[in-house]
Amino acid sequence: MIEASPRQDRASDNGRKYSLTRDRRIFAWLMVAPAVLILSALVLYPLVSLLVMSLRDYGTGGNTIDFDWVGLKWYAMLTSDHRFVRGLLRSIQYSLGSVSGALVLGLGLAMLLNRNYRGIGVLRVLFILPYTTMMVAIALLWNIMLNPANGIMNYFLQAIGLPASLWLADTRTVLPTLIMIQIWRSTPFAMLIALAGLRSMPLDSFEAADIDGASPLQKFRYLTLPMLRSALATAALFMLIDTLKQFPLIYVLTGGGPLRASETLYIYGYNLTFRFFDIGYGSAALVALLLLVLTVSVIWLRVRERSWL
Amino acid sequence: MLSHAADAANLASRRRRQRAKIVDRVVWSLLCGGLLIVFVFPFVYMVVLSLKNPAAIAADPHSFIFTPTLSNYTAIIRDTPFLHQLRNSAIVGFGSVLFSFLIGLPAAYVIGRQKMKRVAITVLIVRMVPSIVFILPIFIVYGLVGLRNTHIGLIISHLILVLPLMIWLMIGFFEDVPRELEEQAYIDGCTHWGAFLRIAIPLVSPGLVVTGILALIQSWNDLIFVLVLSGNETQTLPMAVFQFMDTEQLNLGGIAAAAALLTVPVMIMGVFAQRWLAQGLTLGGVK
Repeated sequence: MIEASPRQDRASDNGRKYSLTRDRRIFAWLMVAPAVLILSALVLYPLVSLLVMSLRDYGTGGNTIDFDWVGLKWYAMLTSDHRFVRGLLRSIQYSLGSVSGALVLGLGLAMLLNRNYRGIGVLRVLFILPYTTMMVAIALLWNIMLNPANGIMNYFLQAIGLPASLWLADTRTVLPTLIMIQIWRSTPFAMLIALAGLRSMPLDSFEAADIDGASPLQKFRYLTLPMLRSALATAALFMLIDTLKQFPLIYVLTGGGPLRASETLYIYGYNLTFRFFDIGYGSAALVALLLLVLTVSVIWLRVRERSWL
Repeated sequence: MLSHAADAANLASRRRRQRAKIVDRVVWSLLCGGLLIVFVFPFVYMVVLSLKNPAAIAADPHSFIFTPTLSNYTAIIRDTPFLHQLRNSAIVGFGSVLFSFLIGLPAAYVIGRQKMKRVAITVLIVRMVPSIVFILPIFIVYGLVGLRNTHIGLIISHLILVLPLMIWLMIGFFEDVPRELEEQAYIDGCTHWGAFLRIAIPLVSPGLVVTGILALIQSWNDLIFVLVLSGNETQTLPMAVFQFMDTEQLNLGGIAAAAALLTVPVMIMGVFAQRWLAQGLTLGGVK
């Protein structure tokens, strides 16, 4: 009896610990369950449904009841569809162009604002404006400024002796113009990331560089850039995903025109499904868009640094 | 003699440093001013243009000297369903944010505490998926169950946008709450639910404000769900755009006023939460 008691104690102790963790596990799942259930209903069902629809032929006209199974026919068709291929390339061009521009400008802006002047907080808030403003308002804003007849952008161009541009109305300038607006929109985001990185940098290595007589350019090249590299890389990938998904700006300003010169993959997918009601083929195009975004997302997840996530 | 020479050299180097400081300051101001024009001037121009009457715009759209008028604003409120759209945006935005808080807060708390990596990554991936891929199936189902052109239908669809963002942001805020406080509460006889409700939630309240605002902005910005799933009765603010794009050449002042009205609600929220806004905006993206 006496010998057995410690063991018993330990056993009951174990039992209590076990019930505590089991308790905690049940609690945990009860807490997560509503979100998981609702998100899977909202996300999984549409995704599976989209995949299934992309394997069917509904005919045209938006009929969703009669269909034939066609296997991968639509996907095979996509590879030889010039509109699709051009849209895909245009999306990539749009994303890479605007992200690289926003990164350079954002980094420059962050270095300018990384000072302890009085009132610098106000400046930072002002510079964030393009990123917090509603996308459709930005579209309206630029629509006014880029108006070829009496917009202020042409007024500026002519004031410095350059010829007026048609901006969004010309097939050659429409994509660069949209990229310019997207850079304007995304730069504050890149700035916020770069600024956070700059502020967390150890000052002593800069002091050491000062003692060694390093020039500002050398400090930037050999200290600032390497230390910001991972922050900038994650920001770049995030912006890449964001710009691949850009819809309101392009849809409101050009609708993919003129002459489809700004029709990105997103816009093409929208036109196929909701304008031409080509459900099967449109679904296949949307699945392609999904795969493109997911690929970048997975790279992004790999590059990101976080303690446990 | 020696000390004099040293003094002179010292003085010269101090002058040089001072001059370099002034040059630095001037260059800085010029660069900042230039960039400020690029990034902020469009908003100023928008406000100026919105305060001009059509005659002033026809005379010279770019002059900054004119008699301001609010006629563009009153015209929008009188002639377009702007207030109606604002109301719908508020219903859908607050509805989806409220639902997301109810469902998302417990989830974010547990994911953060138990470090449920897979669930967290899944939530993040959902956030990355382009919303257009969800819309066609939802559109079809909504047609069957009669949820097209209803507020509740829009709220449900916006959960896809809002819920992952909210969970993701709140995980970060919950992680900052020291675990010891909850351990202490358990010892005092508190349940898990009690610790969540009475300890964790009050401590993340600043995070709740930021997350709520960012989630609201997310819902207000959405165009594509509203474009497909709403109708005349339920259309939200972003749809106001199309009333102005049709009459594009005719009414510059009206478009500017509309853009200003669309900018203001979010801007007010931004000023209100500016202390945390930068943190919140980047948290969702990078950390």
